[in-house]
Amino acid sequence: MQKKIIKFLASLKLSVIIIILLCILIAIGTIIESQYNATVATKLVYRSWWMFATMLALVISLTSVMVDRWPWKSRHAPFVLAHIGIIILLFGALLTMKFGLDGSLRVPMNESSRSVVVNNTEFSVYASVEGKDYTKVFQQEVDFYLASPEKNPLRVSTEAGVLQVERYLPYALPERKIRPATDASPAIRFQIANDRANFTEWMVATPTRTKIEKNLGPAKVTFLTTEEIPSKPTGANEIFLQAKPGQVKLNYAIFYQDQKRKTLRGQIEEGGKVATGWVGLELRLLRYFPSAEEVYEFKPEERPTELNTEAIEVSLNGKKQWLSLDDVVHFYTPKVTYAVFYGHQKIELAFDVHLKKFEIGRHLGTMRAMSYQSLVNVAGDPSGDHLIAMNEPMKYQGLTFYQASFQEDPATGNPVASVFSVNADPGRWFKYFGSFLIVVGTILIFYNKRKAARAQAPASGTN
Amino acid sequence: MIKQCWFFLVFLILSSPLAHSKEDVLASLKRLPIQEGGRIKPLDTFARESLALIYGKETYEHKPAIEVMMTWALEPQIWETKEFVEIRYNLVKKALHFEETQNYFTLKKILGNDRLSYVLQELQSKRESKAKLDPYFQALQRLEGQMGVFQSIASGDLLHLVPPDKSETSPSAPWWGPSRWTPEQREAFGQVNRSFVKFLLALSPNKNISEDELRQLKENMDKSVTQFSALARANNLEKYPDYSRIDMELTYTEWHPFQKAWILYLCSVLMIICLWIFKWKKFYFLSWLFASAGLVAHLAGFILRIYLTGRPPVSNMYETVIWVSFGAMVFAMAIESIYRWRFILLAGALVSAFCLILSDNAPVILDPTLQPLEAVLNSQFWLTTHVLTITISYAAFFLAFALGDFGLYFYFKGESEQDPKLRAITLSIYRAMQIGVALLAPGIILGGVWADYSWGRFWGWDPKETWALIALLGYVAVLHARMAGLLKGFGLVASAVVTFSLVIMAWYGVNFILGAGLHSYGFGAGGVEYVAGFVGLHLVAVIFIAVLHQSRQKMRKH
Repeated sequence: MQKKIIKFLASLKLSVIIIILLCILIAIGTIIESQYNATVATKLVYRSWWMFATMLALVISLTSVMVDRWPWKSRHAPFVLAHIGIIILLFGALLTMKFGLDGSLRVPMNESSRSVVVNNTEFSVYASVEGKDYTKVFQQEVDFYLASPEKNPLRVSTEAGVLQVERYLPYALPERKIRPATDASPAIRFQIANDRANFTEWMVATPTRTKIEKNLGPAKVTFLTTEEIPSKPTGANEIFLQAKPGQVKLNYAIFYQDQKRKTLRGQIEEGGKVATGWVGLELRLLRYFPSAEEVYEFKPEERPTELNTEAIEVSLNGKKQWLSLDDVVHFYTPKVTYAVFYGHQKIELAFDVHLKKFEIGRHLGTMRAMSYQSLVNVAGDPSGDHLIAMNEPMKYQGLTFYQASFQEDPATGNPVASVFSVNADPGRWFKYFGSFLIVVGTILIFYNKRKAARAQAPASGTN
Repeated sequence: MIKQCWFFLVFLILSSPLAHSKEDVLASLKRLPIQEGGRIKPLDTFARESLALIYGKETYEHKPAIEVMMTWALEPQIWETKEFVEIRYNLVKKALHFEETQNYFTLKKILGNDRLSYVLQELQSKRESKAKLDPYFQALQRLEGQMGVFQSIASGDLLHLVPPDKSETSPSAPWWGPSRWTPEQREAFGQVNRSFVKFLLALSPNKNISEDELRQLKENMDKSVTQFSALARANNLEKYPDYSRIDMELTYTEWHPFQKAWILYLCSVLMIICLWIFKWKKFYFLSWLFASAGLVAHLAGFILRIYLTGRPPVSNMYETVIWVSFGAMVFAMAIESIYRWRFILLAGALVSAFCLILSDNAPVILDPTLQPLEAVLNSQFWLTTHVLTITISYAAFFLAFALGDFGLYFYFKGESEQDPKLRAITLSIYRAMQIGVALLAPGIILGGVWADYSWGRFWGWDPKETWALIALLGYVAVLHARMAGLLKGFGLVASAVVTFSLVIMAWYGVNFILGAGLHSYGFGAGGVEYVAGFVGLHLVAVIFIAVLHQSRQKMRKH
């Protein structure tokens, strides 16, 4: 009976089925990745239970076939090596998955950082009595993608009531909405256009932000809610718009760089337009709210893009608020203020990494990066500065720091931060050793077969 | 007969389009260094690339690119009314209300189209939404690029012919276009233009020019170009390149070694066909001769390309196609030299010629230009080794595929599995698959080593790597099934054809169908329908012949 089971598990037919199954599974994974992204593919396929089941079946099949061929002879060496190699490699991968660290560390220019962001997400709640000194009252690792809060409600009971995660959107597009409100500041939406160019902008003032400036290429636009428009030209092409409380119309002024041109002044109402006198550009006032507020709403989308993000809706005593990934929202109750966080978990290193210098080499005459490197200093490390470049990682206290990418100021193109991938891999040497055995085994199989097969080849010149 | 072949061979290898004395007049102009696309290149290359971008070819109605580019910079109006801008994607034509049967349109017609601004705005908003661009938008993006390049050449903006002076310290500072030239430099370039116009006028149709006149024109041209380049060099002596690389690049583009290689491979194919028809043993020697000469040209092309780019050529589809065709030929010659079955050399030469012809004729999908490498992929020993190993294994599988096609043909003709031809084919397929697996497995592992070395992640489910693994698993499954007795003669032949679809997916499909992941720097639209057709036809053929073969076997048993 035992023999029969081994024979079945060791059968080549079974192995072919398992290999084909594995092919199909990971092919589905790549398709999901192309349609969504790597995270979704990992969650749905690469780390799903069927993947583990197939891998387990593979390992059992690989083991049984070796048991079945026992005692091994020298001609078995190649296949035994390759099979043991695969098992060791998979074991290494398991170790990496269970005990490895794979995160990223962002260090701004001339600053220090020690928080390594990892892939796992958490939901946490902080409470404060007087608006400061927040203390953590709840923390839990969550995966809303696989276990949605609609089906597995997440509730946190607080002194002020039950805090609940109501909804989860995997791809939510944040949308800025400006709507009339009471006791708020003015907002305008204007357009500057001719038949070739078109700029449309919202400008929303707040009680603390009463002067809003925007540089639009041909001219600078300034929206004022408390200050007065300057009485003299500023020596540049500029448009000023001023809102006055209780007034339906805005005051405007158009200044010209050319000092000889006369400043245009007047009033404009919602829907009105003024010719600016620059290459046929017209200024239109599309909307004017004397009192408005700015809110973000999240629109569900089908697929991930660079603009959308994960978002959850949280409620406390019926008041609902949206919260996007790696962001915080506050709930104000008469006694306590709650800060709710949803985002990636962070692991604090035992030391600070300081970014001293960051250099980019670019391809001739372009902004395309050719290479980049960071000069860092680890606090408390006596050996001095380290240079981290592509393919030249820094090894420190069992961790390896790789130069992963960088962030640049979109306006100037200057780098503002360097991003490292931080890594600890206990399975590394198993993977390398397993790989080595696989390669040796594969080449030996080929070598052995060649000798055997040459004898049975048909004569040359057969055609 | 053999002597004639030798002459032909030498003639073919040495011949180049440069032989025309007319074009010789422009030789000095062609080698003027220009900065564009992240590197310094000869003006000729710049002209060819610009023309290829707009028109899809490197010549326009037999006019060389340099001539087209110069006239287009001097008299843009003429080119605005020529059917010159290539649009192949039907949906774009439809969006602009153009006739779908036409592939070339005048710039005037495109710019005058009232739907153009709407369509481009659509592209802009799509870009702003950061969503992945589908083939329609990629084609639109190309159209936008075509118009952009046309206009910037017409206005002279792209003529970055003068290195920046010492006041610009950044090593990547762009070279200067006409707007920043000194009056002397501008005047010197004006002189170049005048020499060119003189040459054009002398060339005007129905006019014979004497050797003397040509020499005069050439001297004139050389003088003005030398004058201009001396002024340009004076701007920054260190940044101005010496001419060795520039001249080497001109040799590379004009000699076109890969084209010589495929012609020679086709000659080799022809010789084997002659061998079958005339049964004269010398033809076998000749086919080896042509194949070897082709391989030498192929290798020479490689070495030149490596010298010019300063890195092994494995960064985009074009380069891997060239490399795979090289591998297919090497493997075919290796197996052929052991078994001497003739059809292995035939299969190798066919695969190689097919790949090279393809790479010569699809510049939009297989971009032949010399490109600087993306940062992540830069100067990496492990990267080079792993990509070279993986793609060379595809060469072995490609060879197995071609042999599989031969096998299918014989099964279609009704040969039985015991036929010595088919036994030989089956064995060579098995050999090719073994070579492939013995290279692909280490290649994938080297990829892991590279990834681990570069960013500490041995395996990150990157689609390109993952599909290479799927292809490996596919062939491993075939080899195991063969051992289990599930696949014999016909089965192995059929699986050589079917399993190659996985390689096509890994090699081409990931970039052009899935279009996601780290490896897709070479992402672009095009050709999907042809490749899918190619794969689909083969699958249908396999099924059809399998059914045919089955029924015949039943008949034989009765």
